[in-house]
Amino acid sequence: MSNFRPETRKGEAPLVKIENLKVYYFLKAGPVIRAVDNVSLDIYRGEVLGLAGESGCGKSTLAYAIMKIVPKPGQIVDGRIIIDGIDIVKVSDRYMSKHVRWRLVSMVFQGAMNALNPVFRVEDQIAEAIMLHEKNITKEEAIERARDLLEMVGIERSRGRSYPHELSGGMRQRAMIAMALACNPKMVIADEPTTALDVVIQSQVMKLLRELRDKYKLTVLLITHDLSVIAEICDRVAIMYAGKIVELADIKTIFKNPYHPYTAGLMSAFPSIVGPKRRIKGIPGFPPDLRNPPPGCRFHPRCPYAQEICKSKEPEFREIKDGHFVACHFAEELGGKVIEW
Amino acid sequence: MSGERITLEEALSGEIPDNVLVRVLNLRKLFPVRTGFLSMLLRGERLFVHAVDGVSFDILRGETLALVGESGCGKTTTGRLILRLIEPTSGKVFFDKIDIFSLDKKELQKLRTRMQMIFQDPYGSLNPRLTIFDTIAEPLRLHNLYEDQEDLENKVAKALEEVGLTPPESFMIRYPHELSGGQRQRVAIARALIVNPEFIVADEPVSMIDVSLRAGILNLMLDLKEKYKMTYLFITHDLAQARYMSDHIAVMYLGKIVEIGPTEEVIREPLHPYTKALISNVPIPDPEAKREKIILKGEVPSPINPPPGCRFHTRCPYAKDICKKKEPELLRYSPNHYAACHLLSSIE
Repeated sequence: MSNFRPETRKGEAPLVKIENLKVYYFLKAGPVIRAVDNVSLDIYRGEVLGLAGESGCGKSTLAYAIMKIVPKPGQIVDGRIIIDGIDIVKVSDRYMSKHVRWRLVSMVFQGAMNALNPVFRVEDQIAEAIMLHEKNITKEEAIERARDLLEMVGIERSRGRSYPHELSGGMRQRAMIAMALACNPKMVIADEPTTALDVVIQSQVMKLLRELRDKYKLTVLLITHDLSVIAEICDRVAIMYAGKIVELADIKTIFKNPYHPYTAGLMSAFPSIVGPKRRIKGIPGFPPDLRNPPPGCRFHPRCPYAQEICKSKEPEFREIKDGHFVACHFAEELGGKVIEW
Repeated sequence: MSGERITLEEALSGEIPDNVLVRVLNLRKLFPVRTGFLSMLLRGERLFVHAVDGVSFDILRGETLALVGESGCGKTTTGRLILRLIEPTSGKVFFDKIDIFSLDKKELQKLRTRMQMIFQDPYGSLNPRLTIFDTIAEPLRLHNLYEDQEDLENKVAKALEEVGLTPPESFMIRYPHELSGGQRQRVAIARALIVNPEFIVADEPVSMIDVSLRAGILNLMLDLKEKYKMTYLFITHDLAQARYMSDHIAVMYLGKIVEIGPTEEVIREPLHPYTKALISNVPIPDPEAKREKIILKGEVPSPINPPPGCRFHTRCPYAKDICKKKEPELLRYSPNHYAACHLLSSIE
């Protein structure tokens, strides 16, 4: 397991390559919280990769690690994050802000629509981000660029003069995406970008992210707990549980033929608006406490298929079919049959 | 223009049938907008948020009505009005044929054991200083519904078992902060259940709970409905959840119901353009499903100054002249299925 790296598009260099990453939170009193525990993941250029899991599974921490903004007392303990050929775990913070953040990777945070400063015009705030990263640009040019960006996300240029409170939630969210695009990054990380939005607006924002990918080859890492949203716009999905990725595959495979019992459980936990009405089933038990995760497979206390081995031995995250990775001792035996909960 | 079609108002104008537990008639709630004293003097007018603006419907005994709509459409305010947690501007609510706004404090207090509420946020709705036992026992103490301490303990234990918190003894002595969100919401349900209510208003009961635990809570509510013939008003913004939980759905937009009808019928054959748009935009967990999404222009207008005529006309892809001037009425298109749209009544 030590040097394993899931490579799905063989022969193509990924934009972001995460290898055996460990991010722990060291609380003053008490044990260590292992929020991201030995995670390996490749993100390819121009793909929309979904990262799904319940609250507290470590998905946001993984995103923070890619930006190298893990809040204290969190720390990247081990592993490598190679973005465009550079291992950012090793570089200085100064290097990060000069060459990586905003320019290579930028982030739209959860509840970002409330992140705009209420006392400045939207275009000024975007222009500020541009001027901070590009030294030889005049204020006028920066504002002009800010308006271009707003147009790109479907907001009229003239609305750039607005203050945040004059825009609706959906527009503010789009303005935040525009800001994330200010320095032409190769990748945008969107952390629950639509959780606070209504369905109509939510589908507008999702459509926008997809268009940006299609038009500008933008790479998107979409973090969400909502599998339906993932089904709508992602190319591939990584399912995270208790600090680990338990399954990774392209979107069609994972929805049609999930191999990990947790993935299958999540699938049957949502009601749907289409198809016959069926009884949904929750996953028994509760997500584990990451201060003291269960030994062996972390999902075993909730898994209906758990055997002795699951309690003691951690399952290997391995490729069972082309580009389909699963961490389950019984993946082969259960494969395709785990849908029945 | 609507010659034969009967309006919802007409349908609800007669005597209340026995199978109707809750009847809401023309309910309105306007919240005054706080303005400065000076601007009030100068302008001489007060502004109001039209949170709920003329809403009528029936909830049948043992059934669930889902109230859906985007944030700010007035669904939560409607739920609170029905329990008289807030006073209406005008309109009536009958609970078991009793006009609840005509009751005095004492009578209302008595009625409260028959109707309960489950709130959205299980982190905010439980008193952090009360043990789970005291939390659940509180309604019994308040309404004096127990004989002695032993009876109280038995009743609390039974309620905890009912909501799947077993063994009850291990939960009774704990405090809310020791429980997960899902467990807290189960405590909130136990607290609502303990007075044997007939009617529960559940306001987004699972939106703050981990996804893997949501199904458990929803199924618990369905099981209780089956077991005790419970009647629910289920408030949600999630149409898939509404479909799963309800027998009838009412779709609200800017303080008004635009469509109401049997759940499967509304989901499969929505009549109102707004309902159609909402349904088409719900993401579905099937990557291969190709669906046409109805794009709505703009955003929901402010409820302080709702658009004249049909409130949806500013965003409706089919809006005509009449929509800007005349407000459409909820008309019946099939048994129990009503929609308020001019375009529907002009196509016969």
